[in-house]
Amino acid sequence: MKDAILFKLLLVVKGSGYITDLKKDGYSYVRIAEFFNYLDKEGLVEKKDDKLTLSNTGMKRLKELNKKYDRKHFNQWIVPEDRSRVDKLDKNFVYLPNQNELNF
Amino acid sequence: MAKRFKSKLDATLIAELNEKFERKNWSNFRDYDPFFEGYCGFLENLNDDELGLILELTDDYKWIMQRDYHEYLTDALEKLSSYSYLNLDKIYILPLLSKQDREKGRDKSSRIVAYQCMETRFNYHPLFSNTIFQRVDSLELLPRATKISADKNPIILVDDYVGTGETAESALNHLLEVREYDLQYVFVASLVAQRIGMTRITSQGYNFLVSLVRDRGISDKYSPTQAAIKKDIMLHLEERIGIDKKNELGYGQSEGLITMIRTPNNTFPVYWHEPKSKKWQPLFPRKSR
Repeated sequence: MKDAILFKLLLVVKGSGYITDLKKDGYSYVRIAEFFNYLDKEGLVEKKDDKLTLSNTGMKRLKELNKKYDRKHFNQWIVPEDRSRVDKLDKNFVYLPNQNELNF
Repeated sequence: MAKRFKSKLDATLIAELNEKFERKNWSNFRDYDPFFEGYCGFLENLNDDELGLILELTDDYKWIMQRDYHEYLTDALEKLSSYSYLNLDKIYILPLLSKQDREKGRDKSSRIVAYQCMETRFNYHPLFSNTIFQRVDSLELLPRATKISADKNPIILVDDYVGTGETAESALNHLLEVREYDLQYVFVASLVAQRIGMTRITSQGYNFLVSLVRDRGISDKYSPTQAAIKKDIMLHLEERIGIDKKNELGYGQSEGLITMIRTPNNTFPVYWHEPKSKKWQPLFPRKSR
């Protein structure tokens, strides 16, 4: 597997986990599943609390790739943080925050 | 792909799906890749509640391909051994068909199951090695009731799936209109049956042979409160894709989670309904080719 793809996959797992960026790169779901299968076989990921996370080996590999790419080619490593995105609200929408979700 | 595409699927889900399909033996067919692609595309159309529900239901979903029919059929027919009064030297096999389907000669999966009774492997089965499976297409060619009572051979209506039991009931009524058999010699044999359909038939005094009995996918699985919430999610989803009232939660509210050679309409229609909008691609379309 090319380092650039591996770098992106490791960043996806470390970040939100969503595959939007991989789909935008044109990969099929089957191919994406194969990618994660590869990460698993190589011991780069592990399951923690039912969630796929980077293993120690995966973290180490990510650090190496971080160095290699020196984060200059940002389009190869930036992964949108989709989890924090919300759908656009209508301008007349009255937002009433859920009291239980407020953290202040 | 649309500019604003935002996948609802994450790495954990994609990796799990693939493993799950391998465990369910769904990945073991030639065109698995487009199937997996279709399933992920199908999931992308769902909101979070729907996605959670469909993933849970898919865990319980059963897909029985034709290559597995012999095992299920053998398992169902082996249950004849509990009826010690029967003479299994000869078994009359008829495809389970409603009167209309039988008269119009319609192409139905029950005909495949009837033909499957001719399988060579039955010659090596301890219970059936000396059995002649006499396949009969026309009810008029069946032996008279007096002969059956004397010979004690079973008359079996076979199918791959019994849903609400409506068709089975109609087929049995038609059979008994033509031949007044003693009910102890009349059987329905199905590879799979919804419990509601099986109960409908057995409560009328008929014998039922089945390999796999299926309960309702939501109502029989969850507590009443949880089931009400989940049914509500499903009904909203069904409304969104334009499901007819009669097929809500599957025909006869069967809440089925099954695909055989084809998918019965008793299965939740989100799995098979094809709306006019091409955006929704069901996983197990019922279209005939």
